[in-house]
Amino acid sequence: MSLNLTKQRLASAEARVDKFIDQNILIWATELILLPGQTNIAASISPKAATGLSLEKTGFMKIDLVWNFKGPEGQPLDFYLEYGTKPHRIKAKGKDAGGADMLHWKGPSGGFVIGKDHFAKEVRHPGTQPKGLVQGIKDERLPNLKARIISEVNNFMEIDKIE
Amino acid sequence: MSERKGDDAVRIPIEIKSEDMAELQQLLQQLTEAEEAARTARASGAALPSKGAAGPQTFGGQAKRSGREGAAGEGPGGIFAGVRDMDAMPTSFRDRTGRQAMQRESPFKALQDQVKNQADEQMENTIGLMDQMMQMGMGYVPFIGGAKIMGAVQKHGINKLKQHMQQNAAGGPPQGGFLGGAAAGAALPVATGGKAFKVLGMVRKVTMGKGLIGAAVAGIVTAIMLSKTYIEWMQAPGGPNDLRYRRVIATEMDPLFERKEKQEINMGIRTVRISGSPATRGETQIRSTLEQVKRGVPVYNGEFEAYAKGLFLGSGP
Repeated sequence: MSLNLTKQRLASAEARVDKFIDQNILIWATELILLPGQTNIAASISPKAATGLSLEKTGFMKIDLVWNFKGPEGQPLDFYLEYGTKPHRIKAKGKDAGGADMLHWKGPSGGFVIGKDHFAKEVRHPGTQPKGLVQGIKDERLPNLKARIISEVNNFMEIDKIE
Repeated sequence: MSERKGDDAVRIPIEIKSEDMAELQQLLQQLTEAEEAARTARASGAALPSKGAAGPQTFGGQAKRSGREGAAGEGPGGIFAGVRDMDAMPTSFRDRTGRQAMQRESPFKALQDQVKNQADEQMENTIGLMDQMMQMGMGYVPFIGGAKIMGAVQKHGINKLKQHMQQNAAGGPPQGGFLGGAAAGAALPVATGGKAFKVLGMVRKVTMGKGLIGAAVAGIVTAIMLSKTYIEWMQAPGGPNDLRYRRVIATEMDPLFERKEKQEINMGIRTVRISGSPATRGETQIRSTLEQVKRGVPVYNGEFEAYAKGLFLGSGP
C-alpha cells in the first residue's frame, strides 16, 4: 500500500468514524436506550404509555428521544408527567357538555375514610410534581450508549485498517 | 432541555460528539499523530516510526536511504523505507542465475492426475471389498463343496477380475458408462460406473455357474456396489445431489452474521458469493458482494436489519 493512500486514510479517519457513528447510532440507541426505557415506563405507568416512547433521527449524529402519550381526549399526559403541572382547578363538565355533573373519585382525601366515594363539582388540584421520566431515561442510559460507541468505533477501526 | 415541535410530544435530544468522549478523542489524537508522522516521513524520506527511527540527516544517510539499503540497514530506503511488506508487486522471483526454466504445473494435467488417482483408489477399494465378501462366503459355508466352490471362485473369478481391472486401470479411459452409452466419458462417476458394470457382469458370470451360494454372493456384491456407485453418481459434479452445491443456510442468512463479518463484507475485505437469494441472483446463480461493494451497492442496510430484528422505528401510532 502506498504512503499516499495511508495519508489519505489517516486524514479521513475522523470523518469516517463520525460517519460510522451516524449510520449506526439509531440501532445502538434502540438497544441501549429505547428498549430499556420502554420497559421502565411500562413498569411505572402503563404499557400504552411505553409504546409512545420512540427515537427519531434529527440530524448528523443527533437523535431525539420522543414520548407521545395522550389522554383519551387528547390531554398531553406526557407533558403533565414529564414537566409537572401547576396547581389548578378541575370542574365537572356538566351533562350539557357531554360529561357528568359531578366529579367522582375514591380514596383518601383530606381526612376522609380511605376507599369512600367522593363527589364534588369542582376541586382544586395541588399540581403534579415533574417526574422527568424521559430525561431520566436519557441520563441513566446515555453512558451505556457512549461506551457502546467507543467499543464499536474501536472495533470498526480494527476492521477498517489495511494490513 | 426539551423543545416543542409540531407533533406536540416530549422530545429529549441526544447528540453524540466525538470530542466529548475522551477515549474517542484519544483514538483520533493517535490517528492525527500517525498522520503527522506519515507526512514527516514522506517529506524527509525517512523510515516510518513503526519500522525504526530515522537516521541522521547527513549526505551519507540520504544516499543510503535513497539507495537499496534502508536507514536501519535492512530493506530499501527512500520512500519505500519500511513498507517492504506491503509492496504491490512481488519482490522475490526465480533464481536468474540458474539455467533451469521456470516450471509451471498445468492445471489440466493436475486435474487429470487427480481423476486418475481417484479412479485407482476406487478400484482398490472395490477389489478389497470383494475379497472380504469372498472370505465371508468361505467362512459361512463350511459344508460339503462350499470351500471348494468358493476356492474356485477365488481362483478363477477374482484373480482374473483383478488382472482385468489392473489392465483397465493402466490403459486409456474406460469405454461406455454405467448409465448407458449416451453418457459415456461425460464425467468421472459415469466412467467408473462403466468399470463397475463390467465387474458386476464378470462376478455374475463367474458365480452363477457355481450354484446358489455363488449367486447369493454375487447378489450381495452387486447390491453393495450398486448402492456405492449410485451414491457416488448422485453426489458427483452434475449429479442430482451435487456436493459442490451443498449449501449451509445458516451461513447464508444475513441476521446470523456477526457485525464484524458484516463490516468486513461491507468494505470489500471479505468476499462472499451468495446463491441463497433467489430474488437477486443472476443467471449464474451467484452474486459477489465484493463486486457490489465496488459498484457502491450497499450490501447491508441498517434499517432492514433493525426491521428484521423487530426494532424498526417507523412512524408509530
